[in-house]
Amino acid sequence: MASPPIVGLEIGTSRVRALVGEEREDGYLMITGVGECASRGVRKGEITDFDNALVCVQQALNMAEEQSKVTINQALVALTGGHIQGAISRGTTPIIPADSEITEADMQTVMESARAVSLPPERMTLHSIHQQFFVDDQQGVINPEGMVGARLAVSMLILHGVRNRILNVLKVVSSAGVDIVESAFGGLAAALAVLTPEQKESGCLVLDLGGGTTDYVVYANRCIALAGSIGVGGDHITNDLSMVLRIPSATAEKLKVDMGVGLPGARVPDQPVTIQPSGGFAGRTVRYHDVNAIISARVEETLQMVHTQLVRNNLHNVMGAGAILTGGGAHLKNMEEFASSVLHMPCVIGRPRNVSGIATATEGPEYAVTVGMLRYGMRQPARDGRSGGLFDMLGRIFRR
Amino acid sequence: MSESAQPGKIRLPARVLLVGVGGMGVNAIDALHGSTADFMDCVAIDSDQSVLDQCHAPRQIQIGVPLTQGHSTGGDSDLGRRAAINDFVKLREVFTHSDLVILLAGLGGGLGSGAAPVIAQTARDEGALVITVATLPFNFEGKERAQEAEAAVSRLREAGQALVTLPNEYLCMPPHDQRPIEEAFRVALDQLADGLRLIWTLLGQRNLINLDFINLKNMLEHSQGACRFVYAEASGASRAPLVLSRLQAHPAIQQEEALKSCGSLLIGVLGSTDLALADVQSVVHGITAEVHANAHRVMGVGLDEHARQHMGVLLLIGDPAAAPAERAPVRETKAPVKVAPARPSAQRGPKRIEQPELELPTISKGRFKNVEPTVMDGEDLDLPTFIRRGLRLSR
Ligand SMILES: Nc1nc2c(ncn2[C@@H]2O[C@H](COP(=O)(O)OP(=O)(O)OP(=O)(O)O)[C@@H](O)[C@H]2O)c(=O)[nH]1
Ligand SMILES: [Mg+2]
Repeated sequence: MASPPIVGLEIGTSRVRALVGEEREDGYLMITGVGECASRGVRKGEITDFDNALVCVQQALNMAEEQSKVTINQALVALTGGHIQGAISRGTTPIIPADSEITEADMQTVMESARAVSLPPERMTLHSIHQQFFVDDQQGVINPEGMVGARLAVSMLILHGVRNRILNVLKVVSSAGVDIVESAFGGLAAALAVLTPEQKESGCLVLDLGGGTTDYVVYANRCIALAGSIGVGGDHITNDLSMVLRIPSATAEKLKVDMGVGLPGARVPDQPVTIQPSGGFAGRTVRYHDVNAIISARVEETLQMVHTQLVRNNLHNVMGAGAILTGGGAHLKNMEEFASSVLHMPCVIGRPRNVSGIATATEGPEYAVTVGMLRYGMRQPARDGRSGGLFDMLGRIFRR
Repeated sequence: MSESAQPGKIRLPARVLLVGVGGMGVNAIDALHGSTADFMDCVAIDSDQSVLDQCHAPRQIQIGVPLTQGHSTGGDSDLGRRAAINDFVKLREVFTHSDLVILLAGLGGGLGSGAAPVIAQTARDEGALVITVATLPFNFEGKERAQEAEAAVSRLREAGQALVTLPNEYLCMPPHDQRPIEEAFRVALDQLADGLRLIWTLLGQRNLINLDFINLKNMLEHSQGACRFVYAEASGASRAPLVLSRLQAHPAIQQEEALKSCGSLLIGVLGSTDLALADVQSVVHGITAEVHANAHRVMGVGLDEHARQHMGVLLLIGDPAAAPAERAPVRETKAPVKVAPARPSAQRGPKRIEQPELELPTISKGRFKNVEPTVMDGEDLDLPTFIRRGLRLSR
């Protein structure tokens, strides 16, 4: 065996997923175990009921253990939640003496100063990812070591979130008797799993359409230009249908999956949609156009919020490779086309790359995050805690 | 409740709900306290806890708490609108069992102007006939309030089915009146309360000339979605000529000349048991002399057993907009309603029969009710986009 098995875990709003994988010598990821459990006690990526969440995590882990025949005592944990935000921070340091060669130490100094953002007390840094260096007036420098200048600057993307909510997720995992090797923002993990080097190079948007959150990561100008999470996801579509049409949640969920999102501009004849009785619900007939309008309004709004972020940061025109959609929401019928029209860029569904083994985990966009966590684990050569911030991914994601 | 069959009373065809929105609306409910409001189901709605604390309505609904922290909107009608949207599920539940909703609000205020249209639409979507009875601000309240009120008028006419306005400026108070402002406010409230009480009594009993719910509904439908509320009363031996002269001196009639141009008119007369036919005739003739022959007219005349030597008259003057606004010197703004073509009444949908009531567990924000809301630019994103965008289900 090429390497010891590693475990990726995502406590999602709709499902808890656990994957056991091994790194093969050719760099492929071999999935040997999949565990899945419908989530309870999780809303919008946050723990709302500790005990229920714990039971789900244990079930998913047990399933993965049984299938892979390994005992899981370590895992890499994906984090999400609408509270996770990205901010760009800039650090500057003079080169002393001026116009001498820039050293590794100068780079550390300047990155340290960029990392030293003052966050509100309830927040913590999840990742600080360096974007580009500036040597005097020259920007876009990838590696300034050995260059000559008077002043060195760096811009970093600081991903931060609410400490307690992050710790709650980690606490559930450790209560399940599992050590947390690493944790990382789910959006970054999804990117790690699905993107090709070419997509990163041309610039692209990774959009993880989860049950409770929509996570985005933007690759542009050869760095991670922006990332964050919006606390709106597929659950909201279901809830909208349930509330507006007054149908039970489970019925609404099925309606959503059956209908998908309507194509913009497509003329579809209105027709009655019969909703079957279930439980105490007497059944009812609704209109196709209404269902469509409810779903489209929500999806459009969510995507529009992401687009607004892109425009605000002047990134909407720099993604040559378009958007790559992951997460369960990517399965929604017509999603690619609908997203293209709102985001004004080509959209494709992203599937985990270079994986083999159990088919479900190798194929679906909903596994991008967990596969990405495994990839993340594969790239942690020495876990000596030397990295900056809590989990410094510093260029690791970008490096091939 | 209206449904309790009291002797001598006829059962109203509708389950009626009286709803006070904002400071003015809640005050109005209190003004009705002790009479009409006692046998009508009422609800007070405000964002402002202090207003609700003081009111007598048996049911109170606070809206928009996360947005206003339990205070008033400070005149911000957009905040008022969002406050109502924020709690639309709560509101919807209130209207599930109503056939007729009478919405009372002061236009010009943040909650009155912003929340009332959303509330009217919610009630309408639940299948209720909605009549909004609203005051328009005094001139001294300034242009901004007048504009807010005007915008709210158009939104209400889109959302509800009928809008009855009562400009505060049209209070029957002589010029240079030195009475305190509080009293001026009180006068309008009393007129509103008395007028509502009158029509309520007529609708709920057998009358000399009967007025029922259908008559009222038809009249409101003919009113192109807007009418003026004019009430006057008098006591004593010469009450009939007194009432008539008070009506004729009313600014809506004297200055706005609403009667001359109206497309529909409701006259409600409630008198003590000694009411004479001649009295009724003189008042009705005096009022209708100017009214166009083709105008849709509805009349109700009834007796009030408890009153003595008393006569009250309520006019609902439909579609007053044809009366040129500039001829109403009392108002400097164009608050007399400009009428846009109203929706044909056929489109005002009947009750949704194909959607039976459901016994679903009470949802407030559905599955997100115990989670911190996702708020962006003041909007609670957990609420359906469909609702926040004011979209409506097809019928
Ligand atoms: N006649 C009369 N009019 C009132 C009274 N109270 C308020 N108004 C009118 O109603 C308008 C709205 O005032 P409020 O109802 O207090 O405002 P609100 O709707 O509660 O809105 P905010 O307090 O701004 O959130 C005012 O501009 C007045 O014209 C009252 O007691 N009598
Ligand atoms: Mg108020």
